[in-house]
Amino acid sequence: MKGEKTMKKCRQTALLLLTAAVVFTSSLFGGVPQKAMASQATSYTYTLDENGYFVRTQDAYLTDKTITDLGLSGPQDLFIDKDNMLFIADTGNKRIVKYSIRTGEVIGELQYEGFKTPRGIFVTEEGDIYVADSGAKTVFRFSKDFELKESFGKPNTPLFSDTNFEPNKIAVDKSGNMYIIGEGVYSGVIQLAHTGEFLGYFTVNKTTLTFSQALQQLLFTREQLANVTDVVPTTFSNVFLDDAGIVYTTTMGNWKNAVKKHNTSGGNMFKETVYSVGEAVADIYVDRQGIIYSCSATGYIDVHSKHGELIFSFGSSISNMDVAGLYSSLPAIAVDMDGNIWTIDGDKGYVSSFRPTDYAKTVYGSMDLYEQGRYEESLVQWNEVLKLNQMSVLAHNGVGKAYFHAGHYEEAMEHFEVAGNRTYYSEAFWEVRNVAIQKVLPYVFIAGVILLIIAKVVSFLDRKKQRIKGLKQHVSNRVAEIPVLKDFQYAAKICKSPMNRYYDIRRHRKGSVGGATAIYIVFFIVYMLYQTSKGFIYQYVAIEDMDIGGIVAGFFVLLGLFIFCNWLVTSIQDGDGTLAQVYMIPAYGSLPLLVSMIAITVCSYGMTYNESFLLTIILLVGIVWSVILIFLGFMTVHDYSAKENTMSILLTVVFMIIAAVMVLIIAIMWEELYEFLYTIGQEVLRNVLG
Amino acid sequence: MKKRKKSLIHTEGFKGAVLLAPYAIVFSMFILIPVMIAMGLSFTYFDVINKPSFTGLLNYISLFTQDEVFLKFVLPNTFLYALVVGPGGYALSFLIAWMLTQIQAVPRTILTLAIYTPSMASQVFIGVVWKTIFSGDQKGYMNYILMELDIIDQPIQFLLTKDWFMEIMIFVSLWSAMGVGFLAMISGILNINDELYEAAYVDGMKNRFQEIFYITIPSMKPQMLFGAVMAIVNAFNMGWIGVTLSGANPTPEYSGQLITNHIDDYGFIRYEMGYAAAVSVVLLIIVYLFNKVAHKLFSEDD
Repeated sequence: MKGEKTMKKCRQTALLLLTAAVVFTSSLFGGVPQKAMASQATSYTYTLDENGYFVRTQDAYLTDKTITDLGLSGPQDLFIDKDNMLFIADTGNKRIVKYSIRTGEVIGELQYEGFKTPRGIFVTEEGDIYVADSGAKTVFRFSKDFELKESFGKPNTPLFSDTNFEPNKIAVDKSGNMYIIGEGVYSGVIQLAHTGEFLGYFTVNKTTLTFSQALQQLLFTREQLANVTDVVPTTFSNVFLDDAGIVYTTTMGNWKNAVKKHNTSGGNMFKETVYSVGEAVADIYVDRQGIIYSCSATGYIDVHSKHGELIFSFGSSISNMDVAGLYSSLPAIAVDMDGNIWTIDGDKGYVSSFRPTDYAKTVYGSMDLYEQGRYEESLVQWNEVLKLNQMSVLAHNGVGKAYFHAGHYEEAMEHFEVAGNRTYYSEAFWEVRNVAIQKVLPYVFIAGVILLIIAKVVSFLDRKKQRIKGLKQHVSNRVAEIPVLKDFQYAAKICKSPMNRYYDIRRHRKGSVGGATAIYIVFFIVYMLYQTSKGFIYQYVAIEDMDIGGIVAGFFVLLGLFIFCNWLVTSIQDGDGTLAQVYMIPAYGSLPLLVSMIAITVCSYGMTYNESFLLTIILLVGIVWSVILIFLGFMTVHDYSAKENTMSILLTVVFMIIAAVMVLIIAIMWEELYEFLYTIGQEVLRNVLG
Repeated sequence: MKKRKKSLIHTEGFKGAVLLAPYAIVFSMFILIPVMIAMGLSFTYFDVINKPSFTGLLNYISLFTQDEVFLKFVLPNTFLYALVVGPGGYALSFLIAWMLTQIQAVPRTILTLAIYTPSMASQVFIGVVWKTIFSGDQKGYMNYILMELDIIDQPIQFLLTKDWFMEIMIFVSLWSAMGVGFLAMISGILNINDELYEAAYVDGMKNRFQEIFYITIPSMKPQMLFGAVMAIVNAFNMGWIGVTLSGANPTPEYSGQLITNHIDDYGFIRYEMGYAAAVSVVLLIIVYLFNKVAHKLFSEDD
């Protein structure tokens, strides 16, 4: 989720462009009503693409009703009960409004003299209405006929001590336990028993220290620390309980993990990070299917799956435009039995709703079918989604999983590849590969046995004349005459006994600049292949997203800089090596890494994540081996001890940094100089010649 | 007739055979014949109660074609474990052995004993030490420390879930890897003639690093080979560590399932002896191949 900030900007620009376009077209056609091509959605819907970037998708929700005549003043909360009744906490008017979604009229109004600022509302299955009133510092419980049953004030156990009890939001579970978000309570979600007894804090947000804060904690004395403002955990903004009794909370001021789904001990059930688009998640609602709707005070509405994957996000930054679907403040969200989203504008007191498009409905429907284990049916539904949006990552994942569970692994692989779902792709690939291996294994086994027998027989027949040994020697001698291969053969010898072979380089007996160059070129080609052409599972960045120029330049510049700096450093430090030798050492020492990169690139096509440790080990061995070889190489050609060599290499790195900074400074200076000369030139042209 | 018999008794071969007999009999009774029987059983279906019925290569075929657990978890796990614990434990053994030889005799003896103990009594140690450290509630040391440092906010079920099981197994194995091979290396290093070092320093050797590479390792090739073989055999046979740590076979979601666990699983839990025998033959072949590699790397005639 890298593009968060830019995304927001994009959206704003997109909105501006949209408005501009509308204005432009309407002026162009002189106000003649045109058949609008755009849908009635007032903002774009976004989803995530296979790389986790935001991408536009079809509209998931269209603005539906906007109800302005309820006379609301600063409403703060919404709730929809199982009879499709919308309860609105009309905070400014100190009342609760009950509105029937079916008939579209106000059914009742709950007014109570004890209300000061009723800001949170929750209705249980039995119809009991719980109202959290921060001004009155009380939670009220009403029957469905609006009669006060109980009220819960501040718990008077010593445990609660002098914590503020100003209930803002509330959720109630089946046994009547209350989960309360209190104003300015940093300790967590207050949990009260049905008797009003304080049970403790249900869940807590952790404090996270920035780097400088952690440093302060580490270094400051107690007195100094006392002067620093305390680090407090971010407070919860809302709480919700779904039909299954699972508690959800939202936290303000985060776009990561602002929405949490809690297990009974208060831990977060989402394993992966959950991303919210608006950074100020204010309210959350979960429908019967487990789909999570959240709104942020900044005007965005997000829809997450029950596993926390972002399905849709729409809306736009808060503004004062009177456009349906845009808000001047967005404090609450609720979803009715038909899947329509209901929201309120906290400043203007409007209630507005969105209805899901067929696209969104199909997506939800197929998710539900999949969750129920009806893979065949979900497959049909997901294919419907794919017809609407061919690039939908959700749909490809869904289709892939449905195929996977049905045992159609090859089809599953295709869809997982489009969806960029490497983990599942790997699973499916394992199955496909397993079948292939089983087909081939007997033949390989038989061929292996036959080859083994042939080899034994040949070596038995050859034991006297030793022709094969002679042939091997001959081939190796011939190879030693071919220019490039010769150098690789020499590099292979270095791998076996580095000290002695490097000594040859030192004595100018072996190795050549040309040969080293050839190895560098081969190494570069292999490196590029390694970076760009691994199998899908291991190729995390697509080649088109790569900065090839940067990789190429980085490779050669770093290498060149290293060689040059090492030569400079060692010439001061009594190193014996010449520039040519310093140039040759890394080349001849890089063979293990070269081989390991080839091996990994090839193996990545046949391996699943199950065997990924093999690739890691191959790479590790290659790197360590090469580093040791190069280290020993420098030690030998410069005639250093290990300590001196380490020092010289560290100095080389320092030199490299200095050189890089210098180049940067010169580049900047040159730009300035150019600017200066250019201005002078212009002056001359304009004032002297002109 | 009599004469001929006498001459048979007096032949060199007969004498040799008699001298060898006690060992040969015991060896074949307790090792050779059981191995042969196991190999034979691997071609049968045998459930301990009924008579084994010959099934040919069926066990091997199903091992490589139908046993998903074996292919998907056991084989990769075993290779990962052996590749890390084998060479890792070996290098660690050598390093610690070398370091111990650099100090005086009395502390060396004490430390050697301390380091060697885990490999002898690790069943007990694992029960007492590691299970307490990696305990899954917040009272486990590891969880407690991580929670104190604010790295995690809920205790991790280290030994009951697959997430960290392999890592912990490898760590514990490395800790108890200083076994017989380690003792052999210490004696090997101590037996190197000091004059060799002196001579090398006269010839221009500069540092400890060169000392190890040019004198120590070449002078103790037999011990190095012994250590390598022990390390390999150990790495393939330490499956019980996973079972002791998790308290169950199979280990959580097969995360720490090694070939030996698989053999136990089939042999002593499901009583499919024929199949278990086939798996052990495969294990035998793998260990044999790895030993070949070790011999190639460390044998005398290099």
